[in-house]
Amino acid sequence: MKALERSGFTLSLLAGSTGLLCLTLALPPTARQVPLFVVVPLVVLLFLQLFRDLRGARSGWYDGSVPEKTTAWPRVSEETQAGVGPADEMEPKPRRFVLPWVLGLPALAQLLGMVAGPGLFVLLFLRLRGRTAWRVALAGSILTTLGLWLLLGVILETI
Amino acid sequence: MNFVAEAAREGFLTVFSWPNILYPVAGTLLAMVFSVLPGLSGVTLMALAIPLTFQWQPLPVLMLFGALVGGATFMGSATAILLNIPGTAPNAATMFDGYPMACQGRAKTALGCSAAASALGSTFGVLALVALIPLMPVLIPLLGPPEYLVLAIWGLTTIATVIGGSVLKGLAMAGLGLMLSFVGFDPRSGAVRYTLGTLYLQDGLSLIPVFLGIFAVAESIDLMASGRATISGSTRLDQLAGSAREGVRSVFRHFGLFVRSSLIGTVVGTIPGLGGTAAAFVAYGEAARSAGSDGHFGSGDIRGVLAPEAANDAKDGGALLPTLAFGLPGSAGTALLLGVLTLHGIRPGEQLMTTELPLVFALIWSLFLSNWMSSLVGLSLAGPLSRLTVARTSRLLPPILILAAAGAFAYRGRLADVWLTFGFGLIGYAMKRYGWPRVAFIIALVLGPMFELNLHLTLSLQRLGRIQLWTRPAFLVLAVLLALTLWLARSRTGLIGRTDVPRTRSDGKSPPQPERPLDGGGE
Repeated sequence: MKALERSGFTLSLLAGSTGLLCLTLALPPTARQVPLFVVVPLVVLLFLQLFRDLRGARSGWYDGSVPEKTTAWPRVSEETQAGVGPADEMEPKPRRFVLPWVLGLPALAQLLGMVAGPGLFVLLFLRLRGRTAWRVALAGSILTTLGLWLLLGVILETI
Repeated sequence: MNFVAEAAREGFLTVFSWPNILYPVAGTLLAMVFSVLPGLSGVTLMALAIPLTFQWQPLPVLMLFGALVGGATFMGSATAILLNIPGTAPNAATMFDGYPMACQGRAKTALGCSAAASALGSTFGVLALVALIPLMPVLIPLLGPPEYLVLAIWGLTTIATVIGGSVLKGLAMAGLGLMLSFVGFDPRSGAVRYTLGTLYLQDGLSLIPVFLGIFAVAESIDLMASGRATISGSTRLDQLAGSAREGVRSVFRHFGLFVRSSLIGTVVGTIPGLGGTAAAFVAYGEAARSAGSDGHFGSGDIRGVLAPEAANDAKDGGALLPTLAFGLPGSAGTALLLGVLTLHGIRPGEQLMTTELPLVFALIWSLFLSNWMSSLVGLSLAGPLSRLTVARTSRLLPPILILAAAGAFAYRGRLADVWLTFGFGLIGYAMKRYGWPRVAFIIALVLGPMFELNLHLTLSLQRLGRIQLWTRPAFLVLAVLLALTLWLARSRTGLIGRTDVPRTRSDGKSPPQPERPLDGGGE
């Protein structure tokens, strides 16, 4: 599955770069000189990488016991196993449950504006994902709304 | 030379007298608070302060604005280290190693190092400024498009040292970064490129939303997806390793690197239009290159914090040189400062650098004071700030995401920037997950426009017979230095073209290694 995801990402980069190549070819000669010098090798490199990914997927390189790279070394699970402290771990959820939260914030900002949207987002996040008490979630939401109104509305006057 | 010393003394007495000192102190504190929000910096605060200070006398205005330029840098790096959110664009280079250090529970050490490097770097920049004031009329004309081109190439070659695991992926990411840096107007023909017919992209991709997306939002997604409880992985404060003092000591332990980075910052700062972002990235790359196989850059090397911080603060002194001497701003902050000077009837040039030199020194001392003050406040806050790394992610993620969204929006007041930030957040997460080095992408994106513009200018000037590259001393010196550093890096470690980088933890143990080669370890 991971190998397919990996190849899929490479493929999408390749598709994007091929699109850039097409756009470059449509530019006036003076404007495309330097970009062409960059985009052609880029497409070739991505082709090579896709080939490597697919070959790796076939031979089972990536679906083996390769650990996920991360910047945090003492993983929480290790700490917990060592009895180090009460790791109040967020429940690991499939990645598809992350996407609505990530896109939810700009979507709410688009729908309700840059003051109310993020305020509602904080309330929903703290309550539904962080399982925080209503009082705390509400306080966080009100603080966020006020802070953003003060910054964007009063100080910067961008809304 | 005597008149410079006399002006320096007069400027010092002016700034450090009551109630004048209130202006730089207030400016520093304001800039520190403001720069926590990504995208907003001392520059934004300066823009906001212009109408408020219009009726003031020039001296308090210069003292306030000097502090606004200098005060924003430390808090910007604090958020970069603790939350992977660069408070200002130049702080993006600090994230590469600062955040991994925070993840390892060494946030206090990184903050201490950042504060010390900032304070000492700014001192270096100010001293260089004072020393170079009499030489300015000779030095500035030596730098032109060919020299800037060599500096851009120098910066781009640093990619070779940070791509880590897979050279293929590193080069592809650099290519992608370069391509996205070409979005907008072509500097040569004025043709519009890759804008997909939208007005939004005509000015090019804004760096702030891209930085926020690729790092802050991407890390937030990673935290959510991994289900980690805290950034450092530990839930207890007493388990955090290192101390601020250790960070301060590291600056003296790597004093040669500090001097080199400050020098890079000062030199790049003097180049009009480049600014601190290029200075920080070039210094970071130089640190990675000089460390060779001893370094574990990208995974929490203290030198990766030291170099960009020293360069970023040293550049302020350098950036003031062309601004005050020739009216050529070296950064966004100095561009605004130039505007303020003009508004108050002060014209940069010979008069300012001779008869009005005490005014210039009031500005310099104010900048110096604000850099030291923000670093000292930062050092004293290192402990409390490092608590953020043991805070629950469920409570930490909403502020991080809100800061990213608000920072992107406040930058230009466009919701499209917020979407761009979160779009790049998803791309950045995919890059991290599948081992594509984000650092190579960012370096190319930052240095791409500088490279293209100066390449065109150099070629055009040479075609017209206006310049001869081999008769330009500054070009020759820079070209030789570039060739030397590349040769040294290659001969010492075989760095360029390598397929893997050994990574070691601060405790000397090796991090978990994949059984088979895992591509793109350049994070």
